[in-house]
Amino acid sequence: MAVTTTKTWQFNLNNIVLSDNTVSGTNAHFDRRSMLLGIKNALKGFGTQPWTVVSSSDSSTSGASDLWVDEGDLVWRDDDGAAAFSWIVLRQTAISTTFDLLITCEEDSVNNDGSRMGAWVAQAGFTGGSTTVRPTATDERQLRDSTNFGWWGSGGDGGTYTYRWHAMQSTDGQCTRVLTFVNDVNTGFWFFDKPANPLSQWTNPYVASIQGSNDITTNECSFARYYDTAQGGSQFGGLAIGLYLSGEGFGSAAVGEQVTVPNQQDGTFIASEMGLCSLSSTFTGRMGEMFDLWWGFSFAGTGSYYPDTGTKTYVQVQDMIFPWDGSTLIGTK
Amino acid sequence: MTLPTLVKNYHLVSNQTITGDANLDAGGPSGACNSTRDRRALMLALKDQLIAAGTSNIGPGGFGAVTAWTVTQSCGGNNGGSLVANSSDNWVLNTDLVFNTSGNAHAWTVLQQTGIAATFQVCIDLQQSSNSEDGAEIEVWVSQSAGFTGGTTTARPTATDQLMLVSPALFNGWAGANTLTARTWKWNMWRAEDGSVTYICYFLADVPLCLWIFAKPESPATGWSGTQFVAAVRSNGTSDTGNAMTYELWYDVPSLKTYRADRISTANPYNQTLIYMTADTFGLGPFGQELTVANDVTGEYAIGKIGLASVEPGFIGRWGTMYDLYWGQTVLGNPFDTYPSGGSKTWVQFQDFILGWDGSTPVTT
Repeated sequence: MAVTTTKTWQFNLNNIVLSDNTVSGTNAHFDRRSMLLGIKNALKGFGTQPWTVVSSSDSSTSGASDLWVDEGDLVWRDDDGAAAFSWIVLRQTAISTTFDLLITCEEDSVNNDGSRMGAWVAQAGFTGGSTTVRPTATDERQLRDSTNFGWWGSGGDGGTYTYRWHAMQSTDGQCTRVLTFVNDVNTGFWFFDKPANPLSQWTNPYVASIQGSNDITTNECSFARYYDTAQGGSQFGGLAIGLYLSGEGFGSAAVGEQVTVPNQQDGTFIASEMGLCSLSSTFTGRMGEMFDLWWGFSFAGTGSYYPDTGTKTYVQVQDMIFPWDGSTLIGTK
Repeated sequence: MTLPTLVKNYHLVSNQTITGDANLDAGGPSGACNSTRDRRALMLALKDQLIAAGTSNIGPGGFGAVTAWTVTQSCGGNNGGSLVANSSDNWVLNTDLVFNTSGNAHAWTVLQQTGIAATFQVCIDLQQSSNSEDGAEIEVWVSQSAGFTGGTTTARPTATDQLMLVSPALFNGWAGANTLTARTWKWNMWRAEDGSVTYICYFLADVPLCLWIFAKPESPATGWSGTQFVAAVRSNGTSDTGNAMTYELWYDVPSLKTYRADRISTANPYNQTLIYMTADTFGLGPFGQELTVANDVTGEYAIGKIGLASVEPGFIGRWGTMYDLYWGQTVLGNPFDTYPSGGSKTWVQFQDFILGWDGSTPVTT
């Protein structure tokens, strides 16, 4: 089926972070700091309806400003201790008035090389926080904790890699997506979205995710990650819920997994609408849809563009199809 | 979720009854198979309703005369006589429907529906694999355009583009087990006013034993050359308890068929190109199986569009959707539920399928 975007989009694509495992006295490679810093700057740098920084810590100071100026301001700590560390709270008012994302530079043991971090979202706004304690929110929903390997792809990995990352945001601010790559593998996928056609009873609906694996060979924008398991985080009635990204299927698997060639009569590819389904207690049901994100054919894979006229209006990353700006996606150095 | 609206007007004939009668009608040639009177009556009633005039009674409105099927030729007793094969409708009485084995005198009929294509035809052949099959077996073939020709009292007509829907060779019955037990049937038939869609389902003791579909697809893929149609006469085996309206029979396996000239081969003697019914899916299965309760927030049950996809060589792809046929949640529809909750009963769920309805209370036993 043909796809058209509901929203207009702004892009910050094909960013590169060259490999550099300099550790500078803390447990994070310079290149990993650099990528996280770049993503933060991209989110607050969009021309229309950008994210704003509510508060932050650079481990020596905390306060209501953006203290992440350069890579040295992103200081990881072993969260078994109470050392000073860095964190930041970003806000996107287009999702809800005080929709906040908190990222903390923490890992559960020393020498994990910045491969882990904490992440939460909240709609009541994060408050408090110091150089040794992260801010909290009454309705915070954890997306990652410091025991989750690989926000960038590989946990506890002291190796050096060249990273590529891409950020895009709808001009109304309701949808933000970030893709990270190592060696052409889609090692990370972030999204913070207001869903399309949500149930009216779902107050301030949102769906959010920061996914990465404990290796650099797993693609995150996959049926396995988001269709087979409920990795979309949200809240309803004060409870954390998980959402599946549903799609058209038969024989208990997705069309995109089972149809292994283009349509054999007209050569076309299809894109399947992406729904939001939950099996969470008290929130079981179909809850809404994703804006401008579709399931594609697995066989097509990353770097397939649509339409085939060369305009590259859409790009496929692993199994998902995103709006694109016409450039060529680069996933490696 | 919000109920869909019917795209087409339909003439729905609902809650029809064929009373159980295990008696065997007299008549027919020597050596013909046994068949219960109710089983012959069911087949005759379905044929009669397919060709009957009618005015649409459900749909978006502006109801008009339905495009009925027509009989182009048949073989039957023509009101109790000896079998005759010609261009008339020779199925008038139960006794005109003579079941028999291949090569022996038996009945058949060819029905045409111009709402699908100018000469879209279905041949129903009362042929069985043995004389002990008790009318439980038939053959049904489709010709998308060439048309069936050449039938006699001992052999059904054939078409150069014939596609087999059901046959004893496929081990797929149409009316329950191979016994002479009396069965009371409840049947329903939806005919789109423009003739493009026909759905039939019939029940035995609350079990939908068979679903018939002859339909043009909605929003077909541009590459679907030739006559665009899907068809099936699908039961769940030859028993009195096989449920034919399930995800297992249409979503897990491809039960719809269409005809592709490039699929004719000795490896595919029935010329079948198989098509799955797709559904919104996540985790381990379709939403209707995964979601085992009503929506926790709205208290509503989910309804999902049915798509068409095939993995047949040469026809791999996604091909369109079904008109006015939806998936429901398996926790409902056992044997039926109606929607909306206010009692207007504009939709009915039979097992896992949801179709338009006429406001009556469904009767399935």
